[in-house]
Amino acid sequence: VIPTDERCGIIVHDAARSISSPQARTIIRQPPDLDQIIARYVDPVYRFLYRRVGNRDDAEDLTSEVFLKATRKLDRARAEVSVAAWLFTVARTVLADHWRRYYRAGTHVSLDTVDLAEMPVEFGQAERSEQMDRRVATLLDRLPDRYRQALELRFLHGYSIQETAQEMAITLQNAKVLQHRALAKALQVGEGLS
Amino acid sequence: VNDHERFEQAIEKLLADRSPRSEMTCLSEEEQRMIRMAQLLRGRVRMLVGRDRLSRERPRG
Repeated sequence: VIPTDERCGIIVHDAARSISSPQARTIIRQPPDLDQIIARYVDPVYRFLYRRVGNRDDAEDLTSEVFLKATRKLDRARAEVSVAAWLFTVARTVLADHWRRYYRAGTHVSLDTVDLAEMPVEFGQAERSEQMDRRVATLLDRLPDRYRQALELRFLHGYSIQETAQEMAITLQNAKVLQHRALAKALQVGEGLS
Repeated sequence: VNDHERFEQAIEKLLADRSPRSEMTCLSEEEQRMIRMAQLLRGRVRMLVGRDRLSRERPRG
């Protein structure tokens, strides 16, 4: 169980180191141990969730929730590949609950598909999350230049709205309007990509 | 704080790597979908580029 006072960011950092070690990779064919499971999967689960919620607060909370739920019902007799699939099933359920809890029904976004291929590649899954990244890139490419520029400055480069206005040589108010319209257009374009 | 300001607050929170969920109840369904799109863009970008690189690669000039 992930300690409640321990931030997942730290765990992810440690997990990332252990995952890259040869010893960590040998656990695939051995009965799953709880500590090993957390060390092995906390990073991929965190990344899976972060890609969808886009912020550390939610990604950490949801990752903790996934492992709390998972460890309560962990069947240690499962083969590890089965544990991996099960963990991602729990992650999808936890994420769906999160959307239902805080967002109205029907707030689905077309690009937000669940990609089982984001499971670790060691388990024979092709790394197809790149496809999703390409779809986002395609979406940005299909936006009008000013919309794309506004979204890239804000969400890629982390510009403040003031800096975005300055960079685009527009007023602060126009930058806010442009950001709003760009996101609305991105939703519309995203529907066409689904 | 009106609904439009709530929307902007949600975006600002997201860009600060914080949860925008407390603003969600005040937003329309369309605005919630826009926030989710922003979350996806941010999540993908952050995973692709990485936080440290993002801060160093701001195009200037």
